[in-house]
Amino acid sequence: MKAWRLRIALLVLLVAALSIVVRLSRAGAPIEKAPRMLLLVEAPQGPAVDTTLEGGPLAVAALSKPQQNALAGELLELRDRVQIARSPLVEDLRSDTLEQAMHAVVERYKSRSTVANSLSKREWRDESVGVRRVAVCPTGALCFDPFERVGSSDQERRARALVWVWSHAAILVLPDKASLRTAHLLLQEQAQALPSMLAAVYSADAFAPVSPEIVESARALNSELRSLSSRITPTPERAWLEAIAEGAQASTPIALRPNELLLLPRVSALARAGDVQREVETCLNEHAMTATWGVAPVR
Amino acid sequence: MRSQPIYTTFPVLFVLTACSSGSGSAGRSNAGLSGTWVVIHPVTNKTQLTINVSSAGFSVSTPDGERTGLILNSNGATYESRSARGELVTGISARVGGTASSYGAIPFSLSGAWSFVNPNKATDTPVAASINADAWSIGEVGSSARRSWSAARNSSATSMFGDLGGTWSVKQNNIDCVVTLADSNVRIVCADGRKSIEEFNATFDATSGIASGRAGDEEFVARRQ
Repeated sequence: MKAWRLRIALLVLLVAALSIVVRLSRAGAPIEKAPRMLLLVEAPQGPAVDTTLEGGPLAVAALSKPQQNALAGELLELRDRVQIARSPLVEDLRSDTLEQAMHAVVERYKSRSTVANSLSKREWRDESVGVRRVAVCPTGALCFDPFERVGSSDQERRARALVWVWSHAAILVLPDKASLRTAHLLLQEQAQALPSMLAAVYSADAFAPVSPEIVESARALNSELRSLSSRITPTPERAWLEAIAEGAQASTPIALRPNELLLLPRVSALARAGDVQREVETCLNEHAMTATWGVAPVR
Repeated sequence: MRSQPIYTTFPVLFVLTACSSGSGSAGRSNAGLSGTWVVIHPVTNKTQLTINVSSAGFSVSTPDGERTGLILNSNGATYESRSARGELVTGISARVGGTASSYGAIPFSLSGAWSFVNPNKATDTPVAASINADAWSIGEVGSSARRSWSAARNSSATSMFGDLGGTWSVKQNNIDCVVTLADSNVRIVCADGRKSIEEFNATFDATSGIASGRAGDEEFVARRQ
């Protein structure tokens, strides 16, 4: 009986020793980091799903609260002009036409809507390559995380070019929630000005439903526009206004930590990653703010 | 056949340099532009323009079949322009002399004195062109006088385009443009009289093979395939 007890005790000791050895060896191994996003590269299969309308709420989510209020005001002003255009008794004496005024509003938010339309996609295709978001990479398939360093294969390079919006995205890490709010507002204001190379800035809680004021203004404008459909040529740029009027909620395209900001450059600045980085750092420095790059524009 | 002056190559060349220029550090700027570049629509990903560049010349084509190209040979060059409807304008030219200059990232040089003829319109007077590092002129002919171009460099600058670096005044009759080639950037501002009619800027990142910028209100991105 004693011999059995001894053997069991030895076995327990052996198992304990082995588990310690395994734990120690794991501690020395590199920690596998979960990818922020996993994109699968494949042959293009048929036409990509058109998600043009889905970018509208995301474009609005990139605006600060004062900017959203300004947009709501602009939409209501346009609605008034449409009402005037419909009236046989009143004449619009402004120097620009209604179409020009609408174009001007759309142009002001075009960089954001271009980026937002691309952000809202889950799959991208051109003639030679297809890319789609996946949760797990199938065995033997080519997958990459657009936030990691560029791989060497031509296929990956081509795929990264296709998903430019993610390949050029950057992540800024702020020390705490309060400084994140300040930096977010600063960079949103910065992105509004044309010399800026930034198109959009998002925080984790930016992907909320579009504010009721904007939805109401967009609905009012859209309803008036429909009545004028024979006189106003619909433009593709109007698509995002219509999406806003639908009151759709921007779906979160990426999981962000509470102290992270997602920064997206304008299309025209894609070849200027260094300048984008300098612009952001200068803006924060001017306001004595400190931050680190989780994923820098220059990789 | 639609008459098209063979020297439309000149503005195409400036567009070509613009589509493939850029900012960034001067250290990266001599990676060269050889290869196939595509300008893609940022949302639909459809190809809008394809530009092929090699030491033998270049060609620019659109998805609907329009194509313009210049292929250099030992005696000069041949020019070809095909419209979307298949109409073809060809030209042959002889390089009659001139000094060599370096265009930096552009893998060919057009420096010299040229004489262009359209073999399909033998009655046309040959178009004379003179191209060197400080001044370009492409002469006028017959009814196409309005298409003549001239360019003069006002100041020089370090540029990925080698000897072409600097600020140029470009003139096409009453349209005046200022073209600035500095570091890896190209900027073109054109005015008709006092009114600004077109602005173009582009930046080239040789490391990642991207050119991006703005043509008027439109933002664009081009990539080397």
